[in-house]
Amino acid sequence: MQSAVSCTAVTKSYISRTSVTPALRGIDLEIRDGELFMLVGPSGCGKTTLISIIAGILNQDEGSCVVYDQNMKAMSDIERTSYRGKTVGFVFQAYNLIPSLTTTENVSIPLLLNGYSRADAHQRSEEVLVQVGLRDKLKTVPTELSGGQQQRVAIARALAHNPRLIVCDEPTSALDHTTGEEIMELFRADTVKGHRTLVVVTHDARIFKFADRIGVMDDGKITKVVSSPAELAD
Amino acid sequence: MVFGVALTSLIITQQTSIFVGLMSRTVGFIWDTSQPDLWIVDPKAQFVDDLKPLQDTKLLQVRGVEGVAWAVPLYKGSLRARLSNGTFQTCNVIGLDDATLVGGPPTMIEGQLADLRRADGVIVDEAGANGKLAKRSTAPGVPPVPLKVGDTLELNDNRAVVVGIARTTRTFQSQPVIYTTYSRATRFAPRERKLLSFVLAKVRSGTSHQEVIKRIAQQTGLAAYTPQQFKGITIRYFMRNTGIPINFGMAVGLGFLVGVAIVGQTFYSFILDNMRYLGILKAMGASNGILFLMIGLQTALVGFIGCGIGMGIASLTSILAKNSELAFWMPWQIPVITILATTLITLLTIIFSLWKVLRLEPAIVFRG
Repeated sequence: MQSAVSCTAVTKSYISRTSVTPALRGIDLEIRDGELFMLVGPSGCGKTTLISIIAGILNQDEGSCVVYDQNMKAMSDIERTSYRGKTVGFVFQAYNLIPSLTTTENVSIPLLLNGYSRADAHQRSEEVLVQVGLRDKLKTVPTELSGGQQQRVAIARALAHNPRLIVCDEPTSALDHTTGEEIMELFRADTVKGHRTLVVVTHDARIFKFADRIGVMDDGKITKVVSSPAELAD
Repeated sequence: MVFGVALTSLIITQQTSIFVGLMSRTVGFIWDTSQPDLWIVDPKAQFVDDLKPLQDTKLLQVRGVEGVAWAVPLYKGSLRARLSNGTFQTCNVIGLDDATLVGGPPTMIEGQLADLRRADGVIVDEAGANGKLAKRSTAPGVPPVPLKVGDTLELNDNRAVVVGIARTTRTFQSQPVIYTTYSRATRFAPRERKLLSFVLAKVRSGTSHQEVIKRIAQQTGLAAYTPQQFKGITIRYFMRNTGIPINFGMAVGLGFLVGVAIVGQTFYSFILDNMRYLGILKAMGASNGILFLMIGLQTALVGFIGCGIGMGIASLTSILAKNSELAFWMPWQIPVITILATTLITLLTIIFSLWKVLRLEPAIVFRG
């Protein structure tokens, strides 16, 4: 299977005036195209830093990170912005929908950034919102939606421009068990259907079963990569 | 933010308009006296109210200068009028050439200019007739009755009969203006050796004004100014020798600073409040250029609406204050100044806020 993400000896430290805090201490990781890969580990182990580098919103200090044949470190800021806009979709723990815009308008944002006309963007957004089960919420503002519905909108926003990679940061942690499962079902179906790669950072053990593989991180390193939740206990 | 811009543009428009209005009142008399091409005064006179009376023979000398079509005397002085209730009011008395009545008020509301030829005739300005010269009853609560044609006044112990009401530009001191003939005015005035305030002259057609001005200076020793020049030196005098520009300048400057502070602070808070959403847009592929455009458009819209509201309120004030003592005049340059000031505030705000956006790390989106 083709590699979607290939990280080799990636390091990253956060430097403040008084201290240097290493976040990643040499990450070697291969994520396959079309797989749903989960990153798990204790808080502060570097999961979010790693997906930030993969998503092109943070630079690594050393090592190489290649995503769909594009070397992140070799890209200029403009190229990186363009890469994010075209290749990456984001889903956040706190949904991060823009409260003054309707669901359709929120989903239209990545499309408009990719050069769609307003009419085309709205049409495509409505299609995706229907796919995620929000047919009757097309003109609703986020504050009028439940947490699960907001996360569905966020997923629609991540899928709308058909990116090859979606990075999710704790997508189910603010949701109840049933809604969390529904959200992961959506992701699962989309990964299978859309040949898309999903990298999901989570603490939520209930959703581990949806992963193709799970990477365990600790203290800035990948300690193991397993194929089923059962192997995590070993 | 709209409120901040509106407040700023209101202060700038209103204070500047009042300043211009006040300045225009200093030259209102020149404005109202439109017929002459030249105002001839003592060379030491610094502005229109700086009266240095001339000898009557100077009028004849001016008439003798080549290029002068006609020249007439004009008296201007402050005289005390005794009102019906026994109080006194200082008035500007203008004495017009008896023969031609050149220099009369621009608009007659009642009566005619020629009525000044009637015995003891005077024309009173509308604001004075309705205000400071109105007949006041000694009984409390009775409103004053405006002075009207046929009423009498006592000017420096001389009887004067109102034969007309005129509309004039309000004076800087807001004193009533009384027009009469030159001979009558000099009779009303206290006895002095010299009573001629100005010589008003017309330049013969086809002759250069500047040439005639030079000749008058050479042959009579007097200073001659075109109305434009005379307005200029009067305004410059008030600008240099009174605290008006600095007082209004302070108010306008303060208005500008208040605008920068309110708008800048509000917009900066707005940017900080929305940093997460800007970060999301940046993460999703919005370039700095798009964010600049977005924020710039938003600020420009706020500036446009706020400026419109501020100038609208200022204009409304001017309409409401039309017949009041408020000196308010808004020529087209003032809205332009206000728009420029608002644009500057908006630009400063954008630059200030964009610095924050430029440095925004999209990785903020993954922080809790």
